[in-house]
Parts: sequence; C-alpha cells; structure tokens
Amino acid sequence: MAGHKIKLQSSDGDTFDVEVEIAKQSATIKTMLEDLGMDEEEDVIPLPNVNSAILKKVIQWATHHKDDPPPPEDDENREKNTNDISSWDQDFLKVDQGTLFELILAANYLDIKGLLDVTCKTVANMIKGKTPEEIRRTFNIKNDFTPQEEEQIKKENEWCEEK
Amino acid sequence: MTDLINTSTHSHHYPPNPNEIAGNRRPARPTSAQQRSTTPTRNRPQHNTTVNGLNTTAKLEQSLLRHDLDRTTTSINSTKLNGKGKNRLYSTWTPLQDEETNARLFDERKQLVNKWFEKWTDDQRRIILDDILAQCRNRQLTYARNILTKRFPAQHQDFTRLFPRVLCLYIFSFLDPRSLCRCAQTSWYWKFLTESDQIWMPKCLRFGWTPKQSSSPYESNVWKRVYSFNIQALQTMPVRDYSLRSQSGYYDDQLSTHEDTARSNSARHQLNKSHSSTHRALEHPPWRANSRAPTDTLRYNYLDNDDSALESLIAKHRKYGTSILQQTESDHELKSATKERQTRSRTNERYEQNGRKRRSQSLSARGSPSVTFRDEHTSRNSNHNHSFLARPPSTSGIANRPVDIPRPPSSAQKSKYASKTSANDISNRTWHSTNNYNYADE
Repeated sequence: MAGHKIKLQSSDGDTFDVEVEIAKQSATIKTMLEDLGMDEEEDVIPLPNVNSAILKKVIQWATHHKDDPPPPEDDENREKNTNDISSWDQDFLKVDQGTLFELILAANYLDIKGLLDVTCKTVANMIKGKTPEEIRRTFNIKNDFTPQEEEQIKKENEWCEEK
Repeated sequence: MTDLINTSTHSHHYPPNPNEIAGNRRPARPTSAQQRSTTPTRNRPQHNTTVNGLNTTAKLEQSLLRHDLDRTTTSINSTKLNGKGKNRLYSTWTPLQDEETNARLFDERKQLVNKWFEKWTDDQRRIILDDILAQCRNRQLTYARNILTKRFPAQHQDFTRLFPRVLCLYIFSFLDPRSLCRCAQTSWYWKFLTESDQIWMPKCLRFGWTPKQSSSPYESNVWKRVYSFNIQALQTMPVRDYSLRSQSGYYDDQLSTHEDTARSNSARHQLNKSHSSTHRALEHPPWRANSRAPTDTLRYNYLDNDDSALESLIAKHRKYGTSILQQTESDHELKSATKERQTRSRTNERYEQNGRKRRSQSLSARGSPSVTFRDEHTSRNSNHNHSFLARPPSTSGIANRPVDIPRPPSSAQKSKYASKTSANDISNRTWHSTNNYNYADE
C-alpha cells in the first residue's frame, strides 16, 4: 500500500494529501481508518480541531519520523528524561509558545505519542532550572498568593532547595 | 465629525485661551491655529511628513527662543521666528517660557484629546490610531509594543489554562522534584497541579516509599508529603542513598520505610563508610520475628539496669588475667576485623577503668546507677559495639550467635533484674556466682 494517499482536512477547510503510513502515526486516524474501513481515494478525513498551519507542521513532523520505531510504552518506574530530544526536533520546535501549545493540543487530539512527548518535554525544559518568579514570567502566571501565603508555601518547599 | 470637533474645540479652547495665559506673547495667533487643528485628520500625515524635516530645527529654535526670551529681547526674536519655525511653534500655542503653564496647557489638551477620543466611533478611533502610529518614532513604537505585550501576552501563555488537566499533569510528570516545588510556588492552580498524587506517587514508589497509613480517598497531596518526609530523613539526594542501601543487603526498602531511613541517617552521622558494613550486621536479621513479650525494654529504664554485673565480670577477668574480648571471641568463634577489635578493646579498657574507679568507692554505692554509662547505652544505635558488655554472655542456649546483635536477656536474667528492684545484694551475688560458674565450666 506504499504511496497510497488519504486526504486530511483541517478546521479551516484546507486538504492535505498524506501517505497512509505517515498518517497512521496518529492513533486517532489509524483507528478511524481501520474501524471505518476508509480505503477509497476520495475519502476526506475531517480534523475539526486542527487548523491548517498546525496540521502542516504535524505532517512535517510525521513525515520526518515515519521510519522511527514505535515509542516505548510508559514505564512508571523509569525516571523521565527530558534531555533526549533530537536536534531535528529541537529545531522543529523552535516556535513561539502559542504554536507549541497548539502542537501539543493537536498531538493530543491526533494521539501521536512521539510528538506529544517531545513537545511536552520542550515545555518541561522551559520550566526547569527557573525560579518561581521566572516561571511566572515565562508563562504569564498570575500570582494569586497573598504575601503571607507565598512565604508559607516557600517554607513548605524549602526541603527541595540546595543548602 | 468635523462638526463635533468644531463644537468641542469651541467649548474647550476658549477658556484656556492665550488671553488668559500669562506670558503668552502672541494673542493674535489662535484663529489660524484653531483652523489647523480642525482640519480633517486624514490630511495630517502628509502634512507632517513634510514638516518632519523641520522638526529638529524647530526644536533648536525653541531652545534658542527660550534663551532669548529670558534676555527680554523678545520682539525682535519672535518676529524673526515667525518667519522660520512658524508652523510648529504657533500651531501648538506653546507658552515657551513658562514650565508651569506649559504643563497646565498640556494637561488640558490631553484631557481634550481623551474626551474626543472617547466620543469617536470604533472606525474613527482606528483611523486616529493609524495616524498616530504612523507619526510615532521607533522608541515610541517599542513602548507601545511593550504595553501591548503586557496586555496581550501572545508569547507568554499559561498553558494550564489552555490544556485539559491530563495534559498539564503529563507535562509536569517530566519534571524533577525541585522544579515541581518551584512550580508550586507560582500560583494556587499550579500548586494544586504540581502537588497532585499522580505525579508524586511514581517518584515515591521508585524508592519503595509508601504512606504509613492508607489515606482516605478525600485526602490529597499525600505522596508529596511522603516524598519530602523521606528525603528530609535522608538529607541527601535519593540516587546516592539508593545505591548505598541496595549494596547492604538485609532490608528490602519496602519493609521499613521511616524507621529504617531514620536509623541509617543517624548511623551515617555516627559511622563513617567503613563502619557501615558492621552497622548492617548489628541489625536483626529479617527472619527473626519480634518477641511477643519483649523483655529488652527493661534495658532502657536505667533504674532497672544492673551495673554491678558488669563490674564483677570485669573483676573476674582481671583476676584471671584474661580480657573479656578474648573470652567472648573464643567463646563464639567470631572472626572480626582487626580494626574492629582495636576499637573494642579500647572501649573495654575504658569500662575497666570505670569499674575500678567505682569499686574503689564504698561498697554500698555499688548498685547505684551511673548516669553517664547508661546514657551511652540508651542510644543503642550509635553504640552497638558496647552492648554486649551490658549483659552477661552465654546465658542463653544459643552458642554461636554473633556477639553484637542486640537480643533480649534470658528469663533468668530477667528475674535477676526484677529482684534487683529490691536492691538485694545477695541475689546479685548469687547471680554473679552462677555466672562465674558458667565461665569456669567453659
């Protein structure tokens, strides 16, 4: 079935021709194809939660990673590592926060585990090594603690800081 | 639109008119200025671009003018200026020489612009904004951008407000404990998310830490507390301690959470690394269950302890010229490291001295408790090496148990302890004699 293509339609109406094997990295599309038996060329799969700009990026990522082995199952006992992002992915994810977050939402909706992992790791890396104030600035978090509460919570979490 | 402007100019411009303002030297100008201010705004940009070149010279003139006015050579200069920087200077009616009036005038005009702006429709406002932005220099545009990004942070979004909670937790699950603690300090919602049990439970289970009691389903943030409790007990980072404990066999981590970590913590303070293996040997082997009727609790009550037993034991050994250490070692066939032996014999000497000193005192004071001695014994974790001295050896049936394992005294010994409460010297003596007899047998 190599070369067989299906059409993906974004929320704003654009259609993209994608090879089935590439599209099947998305578990959502995969089950859809398998369950509904959509084999004909004319069929268009609507993806109402993804706009065309993001869908283009997702397809770009999936095309690059089409030969990757399937990602390993989550092991609860394994310490999750955030430093294993490949350089291509790092370049690919050099986007503004809005795009990154939309990619996460799209990866979640399309159920592409590899993309979801790599994007979430990128966000995690944005948090790591920052002070609470820096985290607040990075994500525009509104500080809704009173000064007393803030002091209290700081004390609660002191055990984690190096002495 | 022009009507509106006209009316408002009339109502607003006349009161603060140049006539009122002290020091304004050009009362004749307002009409032309007014005309200019009421010209349609659309025409303005072109006008201004042509004027832009003049702006700098006009500024220069302005400062010149102010300077000159101070010298009261006003008339000549002003006429001179009328020819040159005319457009700018007079169109704004700036009372150049007076800071105070200048500020007041600016304030009034600002209010005026605001009032107009308020009354314009959305389209009109956009036109005005276009015009204003077209006039702005780079510095002012950056300023505007900063204001806008503060208002509409396109680059900085709080993803916890965008994503479903599952996704947020998934992101947080990639974080280390320290980052999570810092996240918890940013806001209430982040605190709630980063302290949830889904995140901390795997981190605890990796080290085999579980909460002591099973928590109620309504209780939250249990696992973070478990984690921080254990970490604080260890006072070290988990990875190092994990490797240390996995080397030294007895305990599976799951068997003893808090007690064991606390003990190993105190042990770490007391013993250096070479001692840690001996420390391990001191603990109960896992196959030995707790006694149903624990009798060794007596040892912790220093009033019940029998000091004289040790003294007589030492005295006996001194009499025969043997050392307690040699006796016990040959007795139990224990091979220990030379280093250990040294430390032991050292403590031995200390106790011998102790005993001699006490014996030189009166006999009646014999059974009285020695506080310093007991204190060392009650902290048994740090002083396992001495504990065998507190009990007479080999009163129980087991011949080759390791010396250092703390174990309950036998029932006979217990009865002696009990009788000791009556401070009966005779019973003590009989106990010693039986003890000596045992030794003589061996």
